[in-house]
Amino acid sequence: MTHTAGLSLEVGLDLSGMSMNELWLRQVSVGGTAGSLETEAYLLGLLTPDPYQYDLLAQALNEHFVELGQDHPVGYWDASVRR
Amino acid sequence: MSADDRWARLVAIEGEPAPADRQALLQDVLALGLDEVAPGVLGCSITEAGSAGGRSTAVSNALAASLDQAQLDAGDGPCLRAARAQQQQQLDVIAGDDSFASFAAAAGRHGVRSSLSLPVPGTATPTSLNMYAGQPDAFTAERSQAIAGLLARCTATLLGAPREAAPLNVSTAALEDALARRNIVLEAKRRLAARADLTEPEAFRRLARWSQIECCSILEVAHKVLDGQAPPEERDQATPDGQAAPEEREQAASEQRQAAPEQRDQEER
Repeated sequence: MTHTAGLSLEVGLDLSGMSMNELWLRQVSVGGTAGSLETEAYLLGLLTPDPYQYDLLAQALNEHFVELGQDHPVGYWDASVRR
Repeated sequence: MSADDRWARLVAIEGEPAPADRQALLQDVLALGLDEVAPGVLGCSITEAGSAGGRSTAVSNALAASLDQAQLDAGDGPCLRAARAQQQQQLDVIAGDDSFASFAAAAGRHGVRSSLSLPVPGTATPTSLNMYAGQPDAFTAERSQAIAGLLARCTATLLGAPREAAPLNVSTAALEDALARRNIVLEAKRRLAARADLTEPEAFRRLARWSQIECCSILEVAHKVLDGQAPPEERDQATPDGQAAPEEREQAASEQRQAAPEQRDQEER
């Protein structure tokens, strides 16, 4: 399994300027269940998210970019969500 | 046990206010402090600074115990200062630092040349997480400090710090708002999954794809599902106006009428 073309979660977070707090809250608001410690471990590359968790984090980041008028630059894991 | 296993076990404690195997988890913190934060870490400890001195709560090895003890004997040192002042103490070149003479002497005897002490936030007794390395400048990388910070927050959770102090500083209002949005998305996922016989991840991906196509938030497309609209994948089987089939719209309307008042309130927000 690979993720789709686009920014990685780590680069997306870096470019977004969001804090880990904000990303975690956004992940909750799009339906995620990962805790804040777990979210941080994923973004630091210490744990590998499963495809669903990866997509939840990608969506959380992309919603920030959508608010800035920048569409969905962060790639999703599964090709089924490719545009 | 692999580092992955230790991390997975540690971050899972957020949902468990009183983990039964706290001592084993503290050992995970120490093992990860040794192996994951920076190259060349020789010792790791968790130290309390009480009003009458202090004590090492957990140590990775004899070197860490000895360096902690040198600071406890002197009544000062980076581990005690980090706990008492709740401020990070980073000594990149211990030999050239005269802030903590007793600690510097002990570190020199053990071949320790740099150290990082982080406050563990929110604990009843001021506490620090400490790492001692055999080379100078071991903890200068941003990534090293980020991993050490995560370990400190895991330690805080393990030691019973309140949630608002330990993992992340999130206001109650922000959390309630996120949960209200989440409930709407979850309900939309549930309806999509039931309607099209999808798994939860499949229903989420359908919502995510719809939000990409319309360049909007997943909350907006979730509202559309709750209003009876069909996502693009289902429109081939839907009516020409893009609505779900009549029986599905009736089911959505019926579910809407039966929704709990508090959910309707959330949806109206």
